[in-house]
Amino acid sequence: MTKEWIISSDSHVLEPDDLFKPIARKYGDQLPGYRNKHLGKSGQFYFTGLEYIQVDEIVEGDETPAKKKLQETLIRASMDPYARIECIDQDGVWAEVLNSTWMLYTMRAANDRMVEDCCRLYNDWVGEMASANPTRFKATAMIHMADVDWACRELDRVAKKGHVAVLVNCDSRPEWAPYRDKKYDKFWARCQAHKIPPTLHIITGNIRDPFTLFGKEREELPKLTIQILSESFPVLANEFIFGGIMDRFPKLHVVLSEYEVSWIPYVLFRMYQIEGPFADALKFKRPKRKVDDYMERVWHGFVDDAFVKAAVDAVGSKNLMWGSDFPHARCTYPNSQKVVQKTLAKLGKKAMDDLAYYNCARLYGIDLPKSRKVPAKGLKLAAE
Amino acid sequence: MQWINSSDSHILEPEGLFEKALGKRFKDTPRYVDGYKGVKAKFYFTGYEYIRIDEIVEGGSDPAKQALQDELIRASKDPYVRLKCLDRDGVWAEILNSTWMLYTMRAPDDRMVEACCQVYNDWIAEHASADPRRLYGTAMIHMADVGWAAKELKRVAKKGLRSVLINCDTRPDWPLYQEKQYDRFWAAAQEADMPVTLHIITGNVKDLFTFHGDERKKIPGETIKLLQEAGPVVANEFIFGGIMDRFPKLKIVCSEFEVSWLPYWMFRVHQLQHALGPAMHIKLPKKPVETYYSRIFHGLVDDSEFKLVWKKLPLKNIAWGSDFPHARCTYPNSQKVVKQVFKGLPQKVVDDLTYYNVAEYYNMTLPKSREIKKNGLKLAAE
Repeated sequence: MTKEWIISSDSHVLEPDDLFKPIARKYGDQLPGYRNKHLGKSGQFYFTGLEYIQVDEIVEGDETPAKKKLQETLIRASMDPYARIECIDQDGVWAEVLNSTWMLYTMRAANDRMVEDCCRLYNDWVGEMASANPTRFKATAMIHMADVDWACRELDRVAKKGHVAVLVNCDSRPEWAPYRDKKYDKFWARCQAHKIPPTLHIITGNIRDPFTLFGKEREELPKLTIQILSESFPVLANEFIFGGIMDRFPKLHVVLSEYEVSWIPYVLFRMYQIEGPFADALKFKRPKRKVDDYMERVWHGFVDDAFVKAAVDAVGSKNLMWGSDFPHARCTYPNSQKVVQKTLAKLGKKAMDDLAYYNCARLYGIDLPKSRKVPAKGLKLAAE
Repeated sequence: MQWINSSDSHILEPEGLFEKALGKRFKDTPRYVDGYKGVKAKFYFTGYEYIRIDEIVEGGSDPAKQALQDELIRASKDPYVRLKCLDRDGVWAEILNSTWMLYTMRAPDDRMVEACCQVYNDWIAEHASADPRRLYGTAMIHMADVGWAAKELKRVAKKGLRSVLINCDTRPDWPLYQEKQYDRFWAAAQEADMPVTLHIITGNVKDLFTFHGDERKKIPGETIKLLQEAGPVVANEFIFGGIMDRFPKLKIVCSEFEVSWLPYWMFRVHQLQHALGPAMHIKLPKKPVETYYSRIFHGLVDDSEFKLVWKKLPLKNIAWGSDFPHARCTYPNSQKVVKQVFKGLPQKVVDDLTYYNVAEYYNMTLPKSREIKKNGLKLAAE
């Protein structure tokens, strides 16, 4: 069968060991980085500035020799753009939106100034990484929202560097003002002006990610997993839609990344109820438009959701985008083409093309190859 | 017209219920009050939070809506008025859940909550006894002290109550439900064949009707959080936590959470068993997760997206409910609502969702004929 290029709306890099070296002296032991031990256990861990993660758990692959090799390939490709290009060629992926890995976790660290410093270094590094092939790599900046003025400055800076998206804390922290507060408006205004959609991605909010649990804490893993994978829905409803952000910024688009999509019918139903009978009963302020109107500016990333059809039936096929989650555990590499077929073929060719290729290109302005047919061999041909 | 059954209806606890029974034993005894934060209206103090009554009961300020609200309040306290409403609405039988006690489950004084549960359970048993074929009371059981909870369950089983409603999640300072110390409670529920209900409001997320003034800006977000509270508990405690393995006949009910969240939840639970769980080396349930679905029952009122997902759902385990008499309840249009929500589905499936499933799950007594006769209660009840 002829392979056609697909585009990943949600892939990840792995930040290298020396990334935060320039600020090592300033933050000492607080600084995120690789560690060899945690809770008395030896191994490769990453300290995020708050929590620990075992590296071989978060990257796809495990202890069998073949899987170990896969894991090594993934780690190499996550730090080296040229190794990465080889991988995406092999996988039939034309382009990727590059999100962070460890910085997602560092967004939860307590020291706001350190998080901002890390964001800056990361944003420079991922910009550099993406510049290895600007057609096929699109960088997402990380922006911590503790200080809105700093966030605005950093957004202006990364916009000049060509980053196409900005990933903010998926929810405001309990001690911060909620995102609907007018103090954040200058940030949303800039996102709108730069046409850079803010992204709410799992891990960056107030719920602890399962990969940071160890020992007895793992008794709560299923619960936290489901909770973290639902964290952005109330934020979308409360802040962006009912909180008026999308009314005040009518061209702002928002991306919900890695939450998959089969939750959409339920949350839509609840939002219909909130704008209807609940607002009647409790007399609170409704947004200016109907919920469905705002959903046209909300984009959704999914990997292999078994119930994508329910989401397409609910919101149509124009705002849903497949992603590989490369190189994380359960990522689709090197079988992305197969996974896309399995997940999307039932929707029909037109919808499958939108979800796996065109939607992401449209949102992020990705230049497409002249032909969608994947050449049989190698980088040179693939990049035409 | 054919009878339908409601898997989730509510009563309103009458004035003075707890004050009369408990006297001055507790400082924060739940009660009706005449105003809150300068607003002159009838409120209920739950022992912890305040709710405005004319907001939570369906109806409104124009005369017709006001008459509906008055009727609903009367029927929610008086079983004979209620039976007339059921006849009018074409509802044969109802699972009767509390209203204010749902909120009182969140009060901090555990002994007070237990005392209120006892008082409530006696009252609801008496209330339902007005017509045991049509009114099925659900007991309220606070889970702070498992010894007390197991004893109360055995007591209410003897009184004829058919199910128990517990805190929808453990509080942050309690052990998780999967801990072995709760096992005697699950054993007692299994033994008595009483489904254990997780209902909205009774957990750790604040209900929308308890927000007042400026706090109401939080309602959309908090409402979505509240209405997705049970899914993680069912997954973590009952399936992955091993409760359903240790008690293979135990039945669970997720009440008033509706059902269009289920495909997403099923996808995540499957992923936990097959990908994330093994990667993180956690203890997995003994059987494929899908095996447990037949013992988890779901209530639905008017889920508008049901039509998009129904083919993926365990349809023998879903039952319609009216939410009588709460805001957005389907009375007196339940027959119409049911037709609209289940439009286009095979009749056999609609019959199950609206009548047979709940009857089987709760061992209800059904009338000889499902056809509704025209002449009111006497004929309706045969």
